[in-house]
Amino acid sequence: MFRSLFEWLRAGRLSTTHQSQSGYATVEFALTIPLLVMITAVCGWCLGLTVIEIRLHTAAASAARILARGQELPPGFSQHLPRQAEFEVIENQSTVRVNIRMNSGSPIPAVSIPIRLSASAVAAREDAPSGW
Amino acid sequence: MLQVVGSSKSFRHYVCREQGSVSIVVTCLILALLSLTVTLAMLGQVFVQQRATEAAADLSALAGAQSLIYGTQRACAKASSVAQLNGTELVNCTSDATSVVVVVSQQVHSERIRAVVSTVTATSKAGY
Repeated sequence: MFRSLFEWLRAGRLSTTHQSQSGYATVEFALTIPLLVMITAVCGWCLGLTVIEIRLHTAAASAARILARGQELPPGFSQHLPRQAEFEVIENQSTVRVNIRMNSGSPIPAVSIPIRLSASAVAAREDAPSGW
Repeated sequence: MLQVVGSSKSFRHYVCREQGSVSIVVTCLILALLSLTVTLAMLGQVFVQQRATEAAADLSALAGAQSLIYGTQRACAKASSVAQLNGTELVNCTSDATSVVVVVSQQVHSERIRAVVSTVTATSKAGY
């Protein structure tokens, strides 16, 4: 039985198949690696957006709380925000509203994906009239 | 012993060839990565909303605590107003002479996520 198998292999039937197909797997894998890397990058970008948005919400709540106490925002407040973030303060007699907005860049420079992140927080002023 | 009858050549060819073998693995990998990305994006949205709700609960409790001197009802009314201004709803408010405990909730924005998680809730306590 082994002898017949050896003769069969020696005849080159199986080895011929191997030779004609060898290397395909490597080439296909090499071609698909950029796609896998791109999807992983998008996945990381989504995580980054989540972290940035959480930071915006935390900053808006902190700023609203500070202004509601009647204090000034710390000088480096805007520096602690992500780049391109803009914030506005709307004060009225009884409340302080802080809005923070920013446009996020795309993970792929050639493709522009406009994503706008925003956060808002409202705090009651401590020096507000008692009627509210 | 197994014997392939009739089509032994094509069977051997199928088993030994490499062409297209990576495509199946990579397709599965891409599907898994895309699923992971979508799941992470949805979880991220829930986390962001949870954080916003927590901030709203904190600000509501602080507003309620400011009005405690006017009575517990007034404190809860003010907490409710601030919760609404922050886009949330006051679910429960309990207060005693020195502190206010508020529970606020917010409906999840995305309809797809709402099938899994409908609302996010946060509790906060403030007093003096």
